[in-house]
Amino acid sequence: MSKHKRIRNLAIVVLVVLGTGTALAGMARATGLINAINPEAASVSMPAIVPPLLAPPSDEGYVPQPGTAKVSAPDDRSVAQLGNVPADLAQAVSADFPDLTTKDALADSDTYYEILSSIRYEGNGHTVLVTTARPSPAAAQQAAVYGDRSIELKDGTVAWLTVGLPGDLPNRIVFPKGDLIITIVSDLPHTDLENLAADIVVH
Amino acid sequence: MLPTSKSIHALVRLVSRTQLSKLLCVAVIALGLVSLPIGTAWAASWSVNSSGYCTLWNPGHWIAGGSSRLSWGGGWPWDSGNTTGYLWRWNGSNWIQSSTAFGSASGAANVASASPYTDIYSPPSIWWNETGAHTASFFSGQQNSYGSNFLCP
Repeated sequence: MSKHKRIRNLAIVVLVVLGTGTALAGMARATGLINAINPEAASVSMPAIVPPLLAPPSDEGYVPQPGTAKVSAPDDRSVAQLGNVPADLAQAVSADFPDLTTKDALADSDTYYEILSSIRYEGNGHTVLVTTARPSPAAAQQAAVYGDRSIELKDGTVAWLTVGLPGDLPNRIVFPKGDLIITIVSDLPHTDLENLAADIVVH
Repeated sequence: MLPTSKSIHALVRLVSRTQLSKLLCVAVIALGLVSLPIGTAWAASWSVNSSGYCTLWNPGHWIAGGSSRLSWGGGWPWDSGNTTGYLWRWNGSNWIQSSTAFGSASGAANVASASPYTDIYSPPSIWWNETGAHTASFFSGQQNSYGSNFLCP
């Protein structure tokens, strides 16, 4: 092979490697049902929406639950919760199930996030909140960013971590599960939160 | 002496076979060195934030609004930043995207701000939230800002 051909082939290989790398870096972390993208991959021309994922603060809707027992909804909605509640977070467990009939005034073309449930665990001066949200068909299609950086939970689930949020619960991890968005927030260090997030189950 | 057609062809062959690849390599490296500081022109400092407000405009006419901002300084004159602000309304079980606004700015130091708002007439007491998405020439990807929930009377 001539020197000229070797250089040409080398250039082609470099271009292919660079192109593949760029494509992988920009690849959306989509579940197929929810168009979630990594914040690192968002482009200048196409910013992704940033939705709120927690119900507004209110103690009115929270109903006390038995410490470590499975939390069940009053209807057939999905409820994300800790699979094994640590004893020091089981001192007070409560659940909030918003009235979903308010959804009736909305159309599929509206961009909204329905909060199905919020489970609150308290103990030893700390609080952990696990919420289940479902994006509307329009919101599920729209590119969305659910955190400041992507991480991988110990079970291999791709999730998004945000620290320093305003309010009493500054650390947050979000991950998709089917057509649902699961959120866990706490004042615990994010390393502890990552372990708890990997233990979340949906009933 | 004027170059003959033969000598020109010989020169082209020489360049194409021996020198062209070297010239290309040098050009690519030089271009990379020049464009690298431009493409990654990191501003010395930047910050993002989102917040919301509710104000009485006229009797019975309220405005729920948000403000998302990307501020930076110590950058290059050709730096630029973009902010998209999203205003969300809570209806009891849903966060509904109520309005969106976009803002951009450029310069060594500047603020890209977006201020979405929604008119409210005779509102019930409801919660709102403002979030922001920010992109810029001096960081990669998207930075987000999260406001606290705020209550309109």
